[in-house]
Amino acid sequence: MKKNPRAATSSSKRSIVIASHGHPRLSKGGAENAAYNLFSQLASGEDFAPVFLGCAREPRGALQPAFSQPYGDTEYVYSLSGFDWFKLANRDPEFPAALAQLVARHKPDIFHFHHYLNFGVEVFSLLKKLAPNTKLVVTLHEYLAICHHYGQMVTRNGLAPCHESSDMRCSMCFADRSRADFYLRKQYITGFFQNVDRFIAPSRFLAERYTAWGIDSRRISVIENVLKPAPKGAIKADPAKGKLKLGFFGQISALKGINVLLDAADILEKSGVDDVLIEIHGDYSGQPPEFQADFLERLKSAPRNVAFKGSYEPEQAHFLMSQMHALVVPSIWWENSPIVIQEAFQCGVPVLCSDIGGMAEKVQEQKSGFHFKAGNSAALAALIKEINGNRTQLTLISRTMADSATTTNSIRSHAEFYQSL
Amino acid sequence: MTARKKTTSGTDTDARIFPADAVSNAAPQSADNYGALRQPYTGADTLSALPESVLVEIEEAIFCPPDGLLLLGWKLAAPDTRFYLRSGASTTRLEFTDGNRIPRQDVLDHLGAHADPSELMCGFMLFAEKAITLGEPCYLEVQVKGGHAGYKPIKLSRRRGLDAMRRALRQLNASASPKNSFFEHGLAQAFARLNPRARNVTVAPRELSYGQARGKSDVTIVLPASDDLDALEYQAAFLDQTLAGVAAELLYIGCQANWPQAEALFKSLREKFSLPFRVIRTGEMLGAAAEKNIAIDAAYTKYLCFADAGTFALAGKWLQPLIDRLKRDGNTVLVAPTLLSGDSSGQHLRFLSSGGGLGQSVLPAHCLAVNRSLLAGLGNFDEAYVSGAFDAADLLERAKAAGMRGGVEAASRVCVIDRATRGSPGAAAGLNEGLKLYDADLFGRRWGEQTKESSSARRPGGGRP
Repeated sequence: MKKNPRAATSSSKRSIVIASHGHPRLSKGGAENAAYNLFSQLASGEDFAPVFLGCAREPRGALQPAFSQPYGDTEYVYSLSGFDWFKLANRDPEFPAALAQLVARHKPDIFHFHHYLNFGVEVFSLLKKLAPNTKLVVTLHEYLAICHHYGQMVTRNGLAPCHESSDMRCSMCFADRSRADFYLRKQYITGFFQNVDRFIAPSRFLAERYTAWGIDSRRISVIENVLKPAPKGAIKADPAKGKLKLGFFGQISALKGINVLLDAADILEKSGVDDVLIEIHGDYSGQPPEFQADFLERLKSAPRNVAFKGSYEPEQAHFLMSQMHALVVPSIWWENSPIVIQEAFQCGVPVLCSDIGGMAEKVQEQKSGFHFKAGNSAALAALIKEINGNRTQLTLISRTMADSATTTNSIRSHAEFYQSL
Repeated sequence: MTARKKTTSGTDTDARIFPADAVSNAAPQSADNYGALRQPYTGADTLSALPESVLVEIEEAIFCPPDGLLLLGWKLAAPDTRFYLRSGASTTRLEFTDGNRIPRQDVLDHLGAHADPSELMCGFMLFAEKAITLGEPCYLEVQVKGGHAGYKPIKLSRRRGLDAMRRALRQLNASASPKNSFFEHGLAQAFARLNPRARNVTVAPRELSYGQARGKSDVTIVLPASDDLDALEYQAAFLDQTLAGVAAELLYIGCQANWPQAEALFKSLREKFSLPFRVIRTGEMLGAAAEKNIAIDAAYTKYLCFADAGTFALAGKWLQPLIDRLKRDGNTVLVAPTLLSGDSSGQHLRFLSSGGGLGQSVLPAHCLAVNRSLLAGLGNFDEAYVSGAFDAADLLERAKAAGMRGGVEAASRVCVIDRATRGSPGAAAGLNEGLKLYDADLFGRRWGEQTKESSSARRPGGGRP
């Protein structure tokens, strides 16, 4: 390890470790970006001496240390070795010792996890043994503890929304796992969650799901993810002029509702609506091969109102979104607090979203966008048709949209939360 | 046909238990002398040369030391066909009606149009005692009407010990007629010979230590080092959570099929949980009772607590009440906790066995705390039991016979959770059930009268059914 950065910091600053299941330099998920944004903005303030601990998902080499510092003194990368995805257990025998070294070096007052994936849920009891006075905070992202199906709470067969977990229901989804397996899984995870001092949920919906699952609601605070500040000076597109431009941003997958959007585009085309353009910005390379083949096939036969623009860098998001008259978030899973919605808000771009979960909570009808029935392409097409016929709605919403999740608000909320521990 | 004397290299060497200098081709001295129609055995399968069709397949021939053979297979032959098992000077007439008859639809399917549906029960399992002469080849002699005889060499299986027992149980037709005494007289005899401890297998357990045992540990918790790594991890986590501050050591014992994977897990358990533990590798599956006895020898503590792979400490304090009970009563040799079953449909726990105080006649063996010195006085666990399901009940009977006590402690609760998956419909569970049935049979024969009497005595009106 390199020199101790704490020696250079003021003793009045509170030491905090921000830990994430990914590192934004290595993977581009919303949770790791949120964690890194929090770390960066705490680092630029006066009150905290933050350290970032992110995970590299590639398996560790034989001679590679568990923790390395390729990006500077205050950033660590944990390279995994042995993880049980079912009960979220970390079987890496070198992780506890590496964690102990980090704790001894930085003596954190607060250890704040964004997600428990990759570290394993045992990390919470380990930390309580290593540093009993360190406060443990976990920001929850999606529903992985509740749902073994990638934490999405949709059924494996048919991708239907699932409202609650139970070992009976879950074993119906996973024929190779018994009810007893799911019973023990929950006991295992909740046993370690007892060591966490406080949880943060970026949406009320997510908090409610975890409360229904078994976490005491008094232990969960609802605080939005920290975003990067939006660059100033981006010129917003005027909805009154030209074709109505709608944008889809983010991962292109079945659960993100890409098929709902393409079906809606078909309906619009067939009903003679010719002044709407749907731009798709995002990446599908991480999806299963069958999905990729199906998506590319659909693109070939897509109507003229669809334009696939490919993937984009996070830094380009605000600029690209500002070119849109509205964003479409047609996910068929619950979502939590999609970053694209927050980014659209930063740009003052209204959002058309599915009427479920975190999306419906974040987008307020007529104030920051519109809802349509989740998974219903006809409902989405009808909504687009209606908005296209009355574009002043968008103009008004866009002008008056409250920037309800500004970076400043969210970082301030985090700081206040830390003070309350 | 001219008899041809074969050399050693021309014989089926797998059929021999020890290498022989030469193959015996002398005519067997049986009561049935077929004279000129009977050719000497040369090591070849000659059944196809018989004037009538005899289809027989020995799928597994399990050697049961010192001289027994457990045969698994199927046969389709005329009713008056005679089968002899021969090995050197040993000749055994095979009576298939004494064996376990097994339905073999697969055989009939294979034969197609030639199959007679009435012969569904053509499968068999048969135990032949004193059937093997060490060093001599083993073969089947089949005699058909008219005095013709044919031979089929028998290849001995490499299976032994519990592996062989499991193989037999996989094939056993448990629904065979109760009049069939095979289970008692055939299978039980075979298993008694296969039980590794019964045949005095000496193992050199290898012990590995993970962490220093706490200064004055009161109790050693003995757990099976099963191949189910998930179960190991669950158990370790729940013990870590429920035994905070308790001076206990864990002792894992067993035969790990995949040691590198298990070793990695043990390293991880040591690093992430607090309890120190040792692992004893037996190198061979020995049976639950035998493993418990090895653990008793390896433990340093006055008290031990044995738990099986399906027992989980999910219900708060559970160990201390057991140990307290043993400490309070110096005449109590064993105490079991109350067992709860994870009734996962409602995600709550229900009672599997209620706390009946001390003196219960049948004790579930999922979890059991014992006073080590009293246990030694009783001769530890009886290694004739292999499944782990009845050795505790047997111990309790022996304790009662010696004027000692044992039973269930209501204040202690653990969960018993069956992890059989829907994806694998109970193959492993079925095998374990088979072993339990074997142990139940042994227990019943040994203690059946006493347990009937004690339950009659407890019934109101005493003794009346």
